[in-house]
Amino acid sequence: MTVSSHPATEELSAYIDEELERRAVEDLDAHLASCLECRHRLEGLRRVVAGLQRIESVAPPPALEEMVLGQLALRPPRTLAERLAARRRGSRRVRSYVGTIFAVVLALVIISLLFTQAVQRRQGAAVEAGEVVPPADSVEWRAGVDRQRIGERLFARTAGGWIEVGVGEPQRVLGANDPERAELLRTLPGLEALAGAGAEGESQTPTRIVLEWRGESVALELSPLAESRR
Amino acid sequence: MQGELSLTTAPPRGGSDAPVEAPTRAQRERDLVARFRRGDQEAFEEFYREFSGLVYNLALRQCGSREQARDLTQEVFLRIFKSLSRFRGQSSLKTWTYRVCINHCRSRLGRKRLPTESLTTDDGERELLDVRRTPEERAVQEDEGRVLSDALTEVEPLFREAVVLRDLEGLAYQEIADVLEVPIGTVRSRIARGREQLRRVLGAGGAE
Repeated sequence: MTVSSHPATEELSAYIDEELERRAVEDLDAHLASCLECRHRLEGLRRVVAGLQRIESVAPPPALEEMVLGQLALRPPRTLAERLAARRRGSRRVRSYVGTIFAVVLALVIISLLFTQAVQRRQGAAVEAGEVVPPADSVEWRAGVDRQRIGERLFARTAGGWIEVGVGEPQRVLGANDPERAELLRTLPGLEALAGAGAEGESQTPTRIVLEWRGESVALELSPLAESRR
Repeated sequence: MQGELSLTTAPPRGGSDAPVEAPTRAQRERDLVARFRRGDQEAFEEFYREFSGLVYNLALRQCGSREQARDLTQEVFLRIFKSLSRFRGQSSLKTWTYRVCINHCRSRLGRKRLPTESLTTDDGERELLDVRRTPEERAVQEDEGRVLSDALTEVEPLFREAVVLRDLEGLAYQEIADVLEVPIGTVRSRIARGREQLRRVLGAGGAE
């Protein structure tokens, strides 16, 4: 190594750490012997390294052990300071629980509201609000009539009989011998009561009921007595 | 820096006693991890006492703030608690702990510039005292340490990691390569560039 080819800082740094090969050390020693500038650079690096090595360790704060081990619930707090720190941590935990509970309750309220709205849409929210609204293509509608609920279904009495709210003109009629009729009556036994509701002694007269059945609007004529005799 | 650690490796350049020391240390580490896997709570407490100083100081040099170093140390030990049972002993527990700490600091701190809070002022935390020095010597040393610590915050994070591991923690190049998971040539380069940046910040002679 000559004066004209100065060693890289990396070589000088490794030289300080005794991490150079023996041959490289000999070359560098020879260069340093004749190069004041590189001796100056090396001295500067040595001072930096010596200064860094004199920086002392900092002891971790005593409370840190309780914070770490307490966080992992490995041991209960022992000293007063530890107990206070644990209490502060506990109150933070309570606050986070309160926040979580609030979020869950809020979510439940929103879900129940959405669910209620969906149910109301299905059953005809306007009728629930007290205003009787005829189905879109009802054959006949008389305002102020009775309403009856069977399960989740809401029926309104019209001059033409009972119509499930929101259900339109029947697409077909379930006759007396239609097997679906018996199945429907088994599914919605309250229909017979509906047939008799408000009949004022005219229970012998069949009542027409229009409702949704398997995705379509159907009608059936129903006399509770007749059905019960069957 | 952590001379009292019973589980840590021998000084990097100690040389002769390493073959005797290594199996004992490795066995002790294996025992500790085995106890931890069995649910022995004291095992992690022991681990904490062995390595808390190491983690705290490394975090402190990486973040430049004692308060943040406390948070980082807590997070590092939480990470270690979750993953210690998967430690396979392919490196020493100390190397592995350094790696976890460095990686966590990197992910939390990124490449942002460090604050200039002096790391050597005593604001209630106890420095490790060297009783052999006179008060005057200690004052000079503390001044010098403060200047150097502040200057260290000016160094690029990648170079700072290498310099801290080498000059403050006393790791050998190969150990640093294991911690940082880079070739030894990269370690050599990062250390040199970190020291060079420090030399320029401090104006420690030897202009280019």
